Amino acid sequence: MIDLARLRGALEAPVSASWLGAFRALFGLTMAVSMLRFLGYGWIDTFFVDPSFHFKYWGFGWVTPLPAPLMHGLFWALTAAALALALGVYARLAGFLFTLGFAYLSLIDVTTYLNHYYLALLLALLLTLSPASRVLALDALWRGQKVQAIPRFWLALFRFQVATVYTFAGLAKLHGDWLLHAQPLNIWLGSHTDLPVIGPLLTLPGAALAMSWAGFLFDSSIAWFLLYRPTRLPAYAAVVVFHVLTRMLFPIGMFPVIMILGAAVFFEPDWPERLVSRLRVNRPLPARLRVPAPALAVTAAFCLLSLLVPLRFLAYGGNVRWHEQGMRWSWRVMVREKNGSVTFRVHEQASGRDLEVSPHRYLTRLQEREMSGQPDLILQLAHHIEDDFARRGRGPVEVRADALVSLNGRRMARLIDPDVDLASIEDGVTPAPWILPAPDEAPPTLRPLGSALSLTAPE
Amino acid sequence: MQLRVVAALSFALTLACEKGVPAEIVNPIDMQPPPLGGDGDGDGDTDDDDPNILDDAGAGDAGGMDAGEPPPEQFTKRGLLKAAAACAVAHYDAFAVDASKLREATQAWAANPGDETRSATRDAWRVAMARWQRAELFRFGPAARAMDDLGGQDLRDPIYAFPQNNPCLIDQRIVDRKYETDFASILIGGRGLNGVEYLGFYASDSNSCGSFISINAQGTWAALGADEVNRRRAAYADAIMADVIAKSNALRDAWAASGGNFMSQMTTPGSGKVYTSEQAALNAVSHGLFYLETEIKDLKLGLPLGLTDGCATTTCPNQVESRFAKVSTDNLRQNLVGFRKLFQGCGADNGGLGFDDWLVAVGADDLNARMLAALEGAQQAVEDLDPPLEEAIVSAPDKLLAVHTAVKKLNDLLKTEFMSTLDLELPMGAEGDND
Repeated sequence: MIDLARLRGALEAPVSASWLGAFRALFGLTMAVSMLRFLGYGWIDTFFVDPSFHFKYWGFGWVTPLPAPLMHGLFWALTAAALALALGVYARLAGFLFTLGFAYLSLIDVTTYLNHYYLALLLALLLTLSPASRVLALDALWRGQKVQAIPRFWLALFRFQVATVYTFAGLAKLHGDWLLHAQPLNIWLGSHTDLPVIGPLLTLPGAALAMSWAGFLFDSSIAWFLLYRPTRLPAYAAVVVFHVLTRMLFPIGMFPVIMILGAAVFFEPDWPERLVSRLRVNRPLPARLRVPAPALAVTAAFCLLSLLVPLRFLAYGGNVRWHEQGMRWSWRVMVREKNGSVTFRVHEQASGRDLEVSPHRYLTRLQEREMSGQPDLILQLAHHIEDDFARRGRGPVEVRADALVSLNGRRMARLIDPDVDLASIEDGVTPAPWILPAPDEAPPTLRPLGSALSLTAPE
Repeated sequence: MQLRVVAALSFALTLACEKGVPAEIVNPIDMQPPPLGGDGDGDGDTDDDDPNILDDAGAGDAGGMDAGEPPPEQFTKRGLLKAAAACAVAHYDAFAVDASKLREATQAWAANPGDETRSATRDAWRVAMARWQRAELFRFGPAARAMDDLGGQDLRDPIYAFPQNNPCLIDQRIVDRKYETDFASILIGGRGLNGVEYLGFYASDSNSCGSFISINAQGTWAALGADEVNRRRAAYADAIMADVIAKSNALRDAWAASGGNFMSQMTTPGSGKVYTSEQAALNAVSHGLFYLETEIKDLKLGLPLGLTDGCATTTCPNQVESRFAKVSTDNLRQNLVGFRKLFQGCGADNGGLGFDDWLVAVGADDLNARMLAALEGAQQAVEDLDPPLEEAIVSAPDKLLAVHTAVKKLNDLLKTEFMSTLDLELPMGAEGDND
């Protein structure tokens, strides 16, 4: 039985606030760089302006992109907000605006969903709600409002958030494809054998399997090693090595930086003071810092939800990497290589004509790639096609999908029942019978180039 | 330059050794009859076809192999890049020869408009078109669209603008003679091999514009008279060919060491280069294979078949690719030969390095076999297309549908297992982060 009073006492125990100030500053900088990458790489047009159609989240169909100049302006504004958050200038307002703006961006198109964007959004939200704006903040220093201690509650909450990501990312690898067949790492590593230094190592027998197991063990256990003081330092070193390595191998953008930064919350809360002596607190900490009961209740609900959402896939059965029901917001990081070929077959009821509609009639190639492996997006485009035909006076139509998908290098298989009229199907949270079962066969094991076995005459 | 010298020597040697050249095989230098029709062996290819292309692609540092050389002992990505790049350049070089012949023909036609000179132009056009249809698959590097692919320089469309053909636009330019005064202002739909096709093969005195278009509404077309129209058609065709040759040279220069040296960019990728890794460069090369989906499956077959939304009636014969020259079937045939060369290798009998070797090297023999079988099926379906596409679309659409089905089968494998197995990325213009 949990002793709630004792738990509350532990959560209200004061700790140095400097970790939160340092985290806010580094997170703000990271987000500023992230926004500048969007501006620099032309992703604003690619993701938000160029597409004529956007995949919507349920209930958020009303979220549409701004005109191009405003979209670019928004990213500059978010960069400024992130910098203000980093510096601690009106940090709470900056954090609120950043969270709001980034949430808006995230809701525009489902195909832009990334686990680390979701994590960044959650961390920005937590920072906005926390007392971070008054710790190591420029404006607080000017006003002489130094917050030197905060309840342990905030440290626990940030640690919980980071530990959740790691642990569920580990559990997501607990399946045969990853642990027995080393897929999709076998595919991905095979294309990096030409890298200097690392490349030849990837050609060694069992390299992909060893790295698969290493990844699984790392993700599922690292939070505990970070929590335990004697193993904390080597664990953090492992975090740095792991994420630097993954950044070298995969196009995962700011994810490694966010995780290396996030893992720092496991250090003792006064770690910035130990690094920079001028930050050191000389006054004694208060005995207890109250956390309002409603805040505790809301936080408990948030934590419970954080655990239940990634586990919702259990309610669907089957292979979540195939049917994708329960895939998003579940920290299933880098667990599938999925490529699909989707053609929609449209039957005009009035004329009796049968037409083929290629997704790229409506989508960018990037959107098409994302849609091809995600049934709910295929369904969404089918409805859009139905609407489009109706708008042009050619409805009603039946829309079926010829969707062939390869998961982790397997032979392609049908993802959607080709006989089902998707126009008559409404999306929902119940198991979707129009999604066909995943193929039973095991994924292939490929030889990395440069390995002894691949040195055979090709013809 | 070295490559071209080697290619020329190889070609001369091959010619000397050949017992005979089948009638349907193009000899790009001797201007033999155009490469229309297959050799009947089912692969849709021509036996020993195009020796200069084959030897070019396998020669010297091309990374492939000449016929008769022992097979490479080890597949490398660098080798595939070299082979694909050399194969592309060989196709562009071969086209340049045929384009020059076509220019000679249009010059003669323009100087002396008449049935004989127009007929010679048509013959030369068929040869050049067949050559270019193979090169269509090599749409990577400078030939690619700048907005779609790294290294793209938009140099393909001015040579062949399909599907942006615009006969009415050409007729309007015939009237205002901008081809003489301001060629640069002519939109892409009024240029390229498709423009020459219309000018050379559409012999009617009428034009392709609606009655409301000014050249008809104001009577400026009718005022020209048949002789003047034909004279201007010849002159316009010659102006287009001058531009095509300039663009063809620009494309070759972009690859040449003495020019843009894109060959170096593609074959030695790295930090600070167009392609930062061999995998990134091979991504771009693999995008050439997607001609199969967008152009062949959707535009050349699906659209005229009435399968796609762009066709408002049951079928759309007016959307057939080469409806004036009536060589659409051969266009498909040459496209698939180009696909095979890019996929399997550019050497004799499709030897040399190709994506098939990559699949075998990583142990995906089964996928490789299925892709080759699907390619074989697509080529056979084209060979079985009788009557030709322009007629089949009206009288035997089922046969055309069979070609479409066969091409789709290959395309499905390409988009799914092929991309997954080799960890290639679809052509996306720009790629974001992942996780």
